[in-house]
Amino acid sequence: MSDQSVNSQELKTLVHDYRDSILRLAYAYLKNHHDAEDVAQDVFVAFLRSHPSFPHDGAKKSWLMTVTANKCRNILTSAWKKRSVPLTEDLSYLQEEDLNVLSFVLSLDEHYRIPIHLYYYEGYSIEEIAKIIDANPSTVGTRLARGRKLLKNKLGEDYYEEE
Amino acid sequence: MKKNNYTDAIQKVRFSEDFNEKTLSAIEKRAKKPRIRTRIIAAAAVFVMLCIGGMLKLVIDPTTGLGTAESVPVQNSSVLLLSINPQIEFTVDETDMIISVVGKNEDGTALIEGIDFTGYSFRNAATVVVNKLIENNYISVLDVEKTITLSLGGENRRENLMEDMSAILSAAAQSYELSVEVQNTTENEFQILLAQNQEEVANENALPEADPAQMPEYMKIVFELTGKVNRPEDIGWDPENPGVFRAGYTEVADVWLTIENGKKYRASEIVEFDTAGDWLNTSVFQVMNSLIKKGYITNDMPGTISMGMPGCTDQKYEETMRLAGLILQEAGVNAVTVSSGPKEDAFILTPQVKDSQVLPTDASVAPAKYTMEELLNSKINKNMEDVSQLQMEILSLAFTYDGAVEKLKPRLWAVVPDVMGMDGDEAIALCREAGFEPRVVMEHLEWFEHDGPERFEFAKANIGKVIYQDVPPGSAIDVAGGFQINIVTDKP
Repeated sequence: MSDQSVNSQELKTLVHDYRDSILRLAYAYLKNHHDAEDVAQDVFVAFLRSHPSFPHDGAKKSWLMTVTANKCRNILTSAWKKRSVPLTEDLSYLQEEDLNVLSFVLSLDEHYRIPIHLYYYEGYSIEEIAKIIDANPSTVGTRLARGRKLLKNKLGEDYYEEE
Repeated sequence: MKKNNYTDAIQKVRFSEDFNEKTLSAIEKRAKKPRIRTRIIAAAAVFVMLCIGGMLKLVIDPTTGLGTAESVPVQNSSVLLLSINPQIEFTVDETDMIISVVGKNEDGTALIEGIDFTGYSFRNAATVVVNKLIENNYISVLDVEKTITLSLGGENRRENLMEDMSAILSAAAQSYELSVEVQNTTENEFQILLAQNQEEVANENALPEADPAQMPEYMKIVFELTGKVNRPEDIGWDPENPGVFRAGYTEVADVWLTIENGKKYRASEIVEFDTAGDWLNTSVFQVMNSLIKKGYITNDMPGTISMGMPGCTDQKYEETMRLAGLILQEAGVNAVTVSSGPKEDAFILTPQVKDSQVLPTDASVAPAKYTMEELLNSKINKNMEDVSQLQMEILSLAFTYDGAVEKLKPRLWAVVPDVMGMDGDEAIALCREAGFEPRVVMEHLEWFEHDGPERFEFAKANIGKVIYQDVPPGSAIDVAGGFQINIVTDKP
């Protein structure tokens, strides 16, 4: 089997297995599906280039999530970090309830919305999130707690949460 | 996946298309490209490509006969020149991947020095460059008027480059509340005009600018709070929300401003955005600044303004009063004093010029000990009292004063990592940088809810002990907004 075919097959599997997670994490960072797609491509390129080996799929995913987070943070440099950029995308296809909650979470500071995303959407623990975003676990815990509180306050009785 | 409203919502976000064969092939192609690690090598490679490809042509000036070398774009490439003063030239391939990013003048070269754009898409590279422009104040909130020019060149001129760059610049400028106008001046040129936004927020009910001829003699502001801070009984499992641990907090549910004519304004009408859910300090800061900006709080204001926060704890009340003093100092409103009011839940802003109107003060409430200037510049003895005082003022500022964190960084003795957007290690490093060996323990009690009752009991036993019992010599402690900070100084 040639290198080309190994890469092609590997890439297809990789994209199939992790595209969704990478895109949605990048979206949570960048709030724009074009940028998220660009980052996803960059992440897959980085994977093919460095060809890291992992003991299990969880570690592979964690690596991909970390690279995604790093690439997104490179884009969002400090000058924009604390500014909430309003959603400019056409999300009119979403139901009002979904649009409201998505807009609200995306309006939160990156410090809150990324732990929220990784905790709820990906199901990572606080320690795992801390590794991915290169932060102290206690800091992540604090941010998550505050983010959840903000979410509850905003959504009131409509808020639900299953674990 | 742990489900909540957010997981449902983000799951439904649509992306343009699946990663089809073409995309996969492009990814593979990029992965196989040799990795060029430095900008110098990248620039050299572009130069070599230009030379080898014979793509330098000699342009002969017919009047002088002299020739100049002029670069012609790489085959099928597209070039975008961004001119704002720094000039940056982006060259991209047919898939909008960066071939090179080059500074075309001194400022442009300095701006992107050290950045390796290898493997970047155009949009990502553009975002990085725009962020650099912001960091270096080429785009700033102070811009009264500025023109940015985007010129398209290259063999394969694609307008999407101008459109993408224009969108990124516009979003950046708009986040600085600048107005943006994009003009397609020629087929290959966009001009982006930035200007200060003159549009007023359309809100018929908004608090108007003060009329100097008819300044109110009396204004009352009431901050309705949703919680209390620093009371043992407010820390514990929330009886109304099973499973939720309450750390004690002071948040604002609503703000009411009453003027002597009986007209009432709500928070959103005073500060043009809703303060509900804000920390009390933040809310006070916003409301006071709005009243200063609109001309109600001035050195020669004729009457008094009472600021009420019923149910607020003594410590929070005192902290908020100090904050009010700092806000006045910062705004140069030096002829107005802050004193505790006739009721325990209000304090009063009083113009000094009208001695007869000075209301009774509570001697136990000390005025702010340090000014902002002193905080920034003075050496303060590291004794417990000063650390405690400084801590309180830093907290007030950190919560509220835009830019305070950056200004205070070199002199920080203690920090609240979460508030300042840094982690504990960074916080400790900063303290050490300032010549201060801290032991910073910063926990938000709510965090322990994730670890269950056992961890909570541990936290309560340890953190609670520090907070509510005697503070050991050499320690300083403060509580704000549910954060517990225990600082042990190296000089008791």
